[in-house]
Amino acid sequence: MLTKLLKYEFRATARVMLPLYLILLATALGANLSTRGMGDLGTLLVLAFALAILAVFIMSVVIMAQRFRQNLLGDEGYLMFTLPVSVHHHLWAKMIVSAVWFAASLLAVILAAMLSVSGQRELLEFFREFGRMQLSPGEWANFYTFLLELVVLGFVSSFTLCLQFYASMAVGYSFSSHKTLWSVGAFLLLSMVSSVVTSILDFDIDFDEVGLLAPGPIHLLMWVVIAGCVVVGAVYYCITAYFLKNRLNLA
Amino acid sequence: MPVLECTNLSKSYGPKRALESVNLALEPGRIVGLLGPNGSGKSTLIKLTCGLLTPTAGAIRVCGGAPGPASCAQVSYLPERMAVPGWMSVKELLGFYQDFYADFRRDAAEQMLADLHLEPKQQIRQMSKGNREKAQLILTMSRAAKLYLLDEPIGGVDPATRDYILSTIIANYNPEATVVISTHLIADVEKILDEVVFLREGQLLLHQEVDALREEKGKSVDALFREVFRC
Repeated sequence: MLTKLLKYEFRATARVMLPLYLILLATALGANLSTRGMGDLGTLLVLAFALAILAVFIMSVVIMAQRFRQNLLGDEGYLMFTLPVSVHHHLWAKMIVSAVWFAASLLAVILAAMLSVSGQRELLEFFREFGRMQLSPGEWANFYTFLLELVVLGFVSSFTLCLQFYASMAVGYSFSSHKTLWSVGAFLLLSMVSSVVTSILDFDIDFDEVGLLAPGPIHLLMWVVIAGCVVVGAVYYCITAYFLKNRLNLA
Repeated sequence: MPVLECTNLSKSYGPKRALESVNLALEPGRIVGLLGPNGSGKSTLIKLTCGLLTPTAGAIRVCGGAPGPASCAQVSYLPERMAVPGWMSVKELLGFYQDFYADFRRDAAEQMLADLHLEPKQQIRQMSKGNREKAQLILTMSRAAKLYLLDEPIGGVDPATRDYILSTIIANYNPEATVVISTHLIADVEKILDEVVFLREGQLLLHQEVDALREEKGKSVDALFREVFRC
């Protein structure tokens, strides 16, 4: 059932995200042209590109929150929660699709940025320099491990971000009135509690002593941050699942 | 075995009691009218049966088990409001129902769409309110479910379509299944009902066979309803 939910969730969100990526790439081309001397029009094209980047990131988050509210807590909830599907599948479908769009948005922006500066000598020089970097096999392994940890952290923090929104809305929409206001209140409360807890459990590494680029502490720090995100996300997940299962109050 | 069984079922919204100690058992193969004035607890009972709400006290069993994904596979629910996504076309919705419900009969749905002149390629949001309601009812009735829960199925459509819908309900439901119809339009549905359930202020007032009720009281269900719930 999860794959079926994913199919329809991708279909519902792609309607908005794919045209947005096309606009982004079009504005990137415009920005590229602007570097070839177009005066005020060039400035406008660069501005349009910057706005398109902003729009892509903002819309990724807006779509994530809006799909949860509209599809599960709005009128569509009457259809979705009477499908022979568990609450957990609903939650994972929403989280996976949102995380994929976050990643796709990042890739689209990187691609658009490269497109906007393609053909420029400085960029080619940068990539040549990167290729000429003299690192030992151990340092390359360290570098790739760090990249892998960044990707894992990216996905885990995406899930946690989604779940903070979901938990807030699941709590807020369990009330009979002022649902949005309660959701905002729950979001602020969850933010406060999680920041207080993380400040208590502050993980302290003395980088002056061990050296910032020493492989051990950096990786340890990354995995501690990832684990922290997983724990916070798991708490948000339990809150969301509990409220959707037991306190659902569709308007 | 009853398809729906409520034992001392209660539901409160904060201090407000929407259902109070309801004991009810519905057997298979019956068309049941769930009747009562606004706020009597009809929709609450239907939502509890679908698993959209959890009881405050008591128990509810649907097709032998607690409401959940397994019972949803056997219950076909028509909500009071428009629940299908507006961006989808009728054809896409047929695919959606076919994907999620093993008992969905696509050919029956396509036949009903043709009978009611609904264009499969049209998006739901482009349809008139009446046509949207028809599309949603067709999707609900095209399942071979064990229990159909229809919350105000004929409220927003014209009398001619109302007749078609009622004949569709009779023609399309599985004879082993039970259909629960919650409505205010009692005179329209009375002719197809086997049993009626009267709810007042969250309490079960009456559960009886329609024929026996008419014989005993000497009046139609509609007339009895007006008498019992006179303001």
